[in-house]
Amino acid sequence: MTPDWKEESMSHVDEGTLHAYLDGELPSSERVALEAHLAQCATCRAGLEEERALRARASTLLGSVRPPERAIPPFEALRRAPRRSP
Amino acid sequence: MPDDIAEVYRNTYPALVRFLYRKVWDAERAADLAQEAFSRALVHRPENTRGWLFVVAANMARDEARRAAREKRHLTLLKGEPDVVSSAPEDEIDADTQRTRVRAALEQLSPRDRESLLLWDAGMSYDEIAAQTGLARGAIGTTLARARRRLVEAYDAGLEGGEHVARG
Repeated sequence: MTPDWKEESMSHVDEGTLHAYLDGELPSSERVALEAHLAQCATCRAGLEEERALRARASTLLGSVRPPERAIPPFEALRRAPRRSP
Repeated sequence: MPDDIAEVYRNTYPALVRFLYRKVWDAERAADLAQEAFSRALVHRPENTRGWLFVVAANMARDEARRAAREKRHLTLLKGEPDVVSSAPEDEIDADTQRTRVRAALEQLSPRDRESLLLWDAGMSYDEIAAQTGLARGAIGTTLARARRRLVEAYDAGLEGGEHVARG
């Protein structure tokens, strides 16, 4: 089904499409249509910036709780790794 | 033909540890479980090793959480009192506080939203997240948008709540 924003100038792009666009996961045909829409819709451009900031904030929050960086154990160690009971 | 597990190991190990850490919240356990998942992959030789590893890791983390909950109940019964908070250096308190806040915020998400967000953060594509979660590919953007919004809102709400408590 064609999203409304592709056909009706008054419709706006939903946040899921904006996140897929920001994630680089929008299929190319949809990406071209979205960029054409953004060029003429100030509301959606503002929405895109809002979602971009939200996405960055969520990513920063998750990034703040990483395990300490450490070297990857040698692959050969896997075969010697202690086996836990199933 | 099955993937080259040594290559998947080099490319995926850090992301798998990170994914597990956000589930068990213990760096040592996360590393042990990641090793265990790869050891099992060596035995099973799955076709899609990366996807298989994340499924197995998610299952192990769930079992781990259940076991930890049982042990905690048991310990509380034995001691008859809640754990006493031990003293820790300032920087550790900050890191612990942040971890507690983000963890609490993540727990406000629905399991499917949380899983999608953690898989994306582990470097999975929309196609891979769809395969893993059973969601339609077209629903992943909406799911991640909702997950990100709820994470940020829950985190900010937690900060506000903490400030109210701190002010007494």
